[in-house]
Amino acid sequence: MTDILPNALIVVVDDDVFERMGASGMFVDAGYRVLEAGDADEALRFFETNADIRLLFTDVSMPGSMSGSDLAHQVAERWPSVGIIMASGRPRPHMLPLSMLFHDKPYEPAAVLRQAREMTTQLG
Amino acid sequence: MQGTGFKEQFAAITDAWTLAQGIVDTVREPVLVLDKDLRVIAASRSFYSAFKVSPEDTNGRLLYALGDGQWDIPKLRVLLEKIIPEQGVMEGYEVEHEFPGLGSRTMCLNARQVFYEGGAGTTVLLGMEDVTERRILEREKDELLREKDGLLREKETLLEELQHRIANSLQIIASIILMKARVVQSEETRFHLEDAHKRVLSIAAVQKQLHASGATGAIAIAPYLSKLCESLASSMIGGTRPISLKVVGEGGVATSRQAESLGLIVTELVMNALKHAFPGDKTKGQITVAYDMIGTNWKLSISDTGIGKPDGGFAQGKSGLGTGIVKALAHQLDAQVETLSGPEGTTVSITHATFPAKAVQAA
Repeated sequence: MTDILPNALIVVVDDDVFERMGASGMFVDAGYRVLEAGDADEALRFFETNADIRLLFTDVSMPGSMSGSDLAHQVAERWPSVGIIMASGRPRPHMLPLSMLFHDKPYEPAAVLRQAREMTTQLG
Repeated sequence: MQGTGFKEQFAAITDAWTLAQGIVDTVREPVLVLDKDLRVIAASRSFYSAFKVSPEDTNGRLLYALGDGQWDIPKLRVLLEKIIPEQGVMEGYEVEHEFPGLGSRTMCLNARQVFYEGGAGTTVLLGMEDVTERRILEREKDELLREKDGLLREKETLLEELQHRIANSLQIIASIILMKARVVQSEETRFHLEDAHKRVLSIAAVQKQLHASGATGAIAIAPYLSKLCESLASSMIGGTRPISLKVVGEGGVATSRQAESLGLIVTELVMNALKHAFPGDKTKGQITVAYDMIGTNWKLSISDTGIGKPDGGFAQGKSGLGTGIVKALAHQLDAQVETLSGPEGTTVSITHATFPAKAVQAA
């Protein structure tokens, strides 16, 4: 672990509680602050009330009115400075925002954390 | 007609008639010869047998009046009264009709108008082929094909769903193991849990590539190992270390079970090389995965340009599980494990040979 902790705020979205806890624990251990959401609608409410969210880490297939892909599109359009990383057990969806990164589940935590660090430090 | 007597002319006409009747009788499909008023001049033997009528009830009668009017079909009237006078020929004209005694039949009609030199009226040849059975079979075949397509699509969907569930379950397992690793106090326990986590990921990577290569049948090894190593490189090396991972060799095919074992061996040994062969994060290096096949014999090797091991064995982690796993998988593939290690690096070969190992070395 480096001396300078990233400390940035991340939204973790997954309808599976273990997967969500696992992801959020991974980010907390790496020094991030995490907001957990069980579906895309809940996640969107976080974005609407927190201006300092820097990264979205989301699942794809979830219950609720929006999928992870829909959420990624909304976030990319409304908060273009937020980094987006997606992870899914299904094949990569078509038509995703260009700046977004995709991981197959199960993902390699080191690879996700590396990208998260790059995305959250890009704009100071 | 000069110089030709009446007798000869008559004989010629009789011959022509006999020939024509012979032709009409020979064709397998029912044929009618009609005059310009659609009266039957001649009918083939197959017509009588197919429609169970006699020559007496047929010859000289109007087509529409035959067999209690069973040929008085609106579509046939269109053919004979409109299409043929205008176009002269019509082929493959299908008519569905209820024939008394025969039931509902589909007839494929061919009709042709024949003109004579003397302008002495015209004749219409009407051939009819009963295509009822053929059409039924075709419909059944189409239906079966549609059904088959549906089942195949359903199978695809189920496989996708299954793959998705496997991936998610493995993610849950990986998450739980890592959560445990975070809370345990003992360094050793944490090490083992992290090791277990890596194994879950490697099984998942092999699973995913196997699925992508097609769930059943022969797996082409070269593209499979290339994809697997691509995914290993992106998740295990990323952009952080100056190490490259490449796949070489002719490749070959294997069953999905064999491919799974080969994939797990490759994952294990690549992870092992990344862990032990290149100390520090700055050491440059190359890991090469090679697979070659000759007939039923094959050889898989994973070599690195790392520091090697003084004892000649391949480097292994504290758990010592790696060696055991590779040996067990090789045993399952009926193959031998051989390790060569020196200052130039380490090469682990897994060889399946149906001839004695000594012969390979001598060759």
